[in-house]
Amino acid sequence: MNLAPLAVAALLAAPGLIDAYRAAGAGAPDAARGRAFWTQSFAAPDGGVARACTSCHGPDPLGPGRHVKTGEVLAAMAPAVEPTRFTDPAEVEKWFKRNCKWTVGRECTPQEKADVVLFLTEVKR
Amino acid sequence: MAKMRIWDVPTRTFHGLLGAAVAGAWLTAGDARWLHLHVLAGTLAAALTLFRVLWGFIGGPHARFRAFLRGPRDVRAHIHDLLAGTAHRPAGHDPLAGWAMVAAMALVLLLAVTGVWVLGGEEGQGPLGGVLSVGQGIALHGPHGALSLALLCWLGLHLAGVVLASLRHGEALPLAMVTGRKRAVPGAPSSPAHRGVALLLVGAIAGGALWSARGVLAGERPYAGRALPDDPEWRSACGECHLAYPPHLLPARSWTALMDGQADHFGEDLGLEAEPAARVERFLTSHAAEREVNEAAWYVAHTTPPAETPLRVTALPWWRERHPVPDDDAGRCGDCHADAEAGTFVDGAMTRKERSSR
Repeated sequence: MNLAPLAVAALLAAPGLIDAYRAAGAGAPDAARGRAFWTQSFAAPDGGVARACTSCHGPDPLGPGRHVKTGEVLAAMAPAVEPTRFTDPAEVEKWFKRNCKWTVGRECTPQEKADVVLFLTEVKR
Repeated sequence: MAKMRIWDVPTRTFHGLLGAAVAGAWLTAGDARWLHLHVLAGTLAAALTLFRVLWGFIGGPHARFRAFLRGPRDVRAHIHDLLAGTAHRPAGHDPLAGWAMVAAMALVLLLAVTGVWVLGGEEGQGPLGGVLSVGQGIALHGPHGALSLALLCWLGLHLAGVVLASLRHGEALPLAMVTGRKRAVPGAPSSPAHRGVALLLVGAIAGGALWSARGVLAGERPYAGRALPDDPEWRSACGECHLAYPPHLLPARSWTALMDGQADHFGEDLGLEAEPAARVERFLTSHAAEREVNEAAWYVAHTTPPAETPLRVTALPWWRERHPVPDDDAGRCGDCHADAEAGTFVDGAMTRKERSSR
């Protein structure tokens, strides 16, 4: 299967996403800030193990993750490995909404989303 | 002392192969991994027995039914003679053994019929697959097992009878079933060997076994379950975080409760929009356990107390009975069920021995 068109789509889609976050109030995105957010731990409301993006996605965006509760293997988040990542804005918003609530305890801000999306799309093999 | 051929080659071949087939069926019973071998062994036993019935009409002089089936008066007289120690030595089966042979044939054929019935109902496979409901199949699972115990008891009587008769005749009867030869009985006819028929029988049995095993020999999974209803929206909504548990594994009321509580789905807010959530709920409830699409669904529908609304498959009484493992093993269905992703959970897809009784 030729993945080149999908890779191009990823390159095109992520800036589109970031433009949308900027329109929603985010400032210039920063990959370093995105990386810090990616690994930041948040206290669990149930007093359990602290939560982070990496709880399920794993520390390396180029590698697969493992759902911390169900053990389901989750495909890598970096478009460098999974070209379909960040190509469907509705899908991206669905997962940000669901996962930020569990991880951070609230919805993520446009700035946080823009930073993380930039960080993940820039990770290269 | 003069010996003569009593048991022709087809009769002895039948006897040996039937013993092997019954032993094979017995050894492969009750372990889902060997279901296909169990069915193969049972099919061979039934085919051999059907041949033996035919051979009872057209076979050698001592293999024919009319040579050894006697009326009740003769049977009573024979028992009387046995007790008095005056019974004569028969060339072939005595009147008691004759009816024992018929009983064995009847047991094997009844086992085959009930086996095909259970296979058709519970697994949706075989000639009755898709014809019978799961409940109908389950209804004869017990009788199928009872018949197998009856055959085991019969085997005990058979062995005891052979030992006693061997002592009484002063002749090793098991050996006669191998060589075909017994001490001559005055006036009794010698049997032709009928080697060609035996060869045909062996060829047909081997060919039939190979033909029926062709799929497994080609590496296919035996008895794959019939495909279940699928829905891309359901698969994405549920299957991206965990195994997309198929709708038939919970009662409809459980799916309704789960979707009503999607804002706190085991500690997570699924955040599904109302419309897609309603569509997923409709898919789940319309294919729930109550539809009894397969054996698992039947058990879920029939063993979950109506007052209970389990929210996890692992909370089902039936699941707990069949999986004596800690809760944290949940979500690892694929460890033992090779068809977990497909959701069919058929016996034929087990990769490990079941850990519970049945």
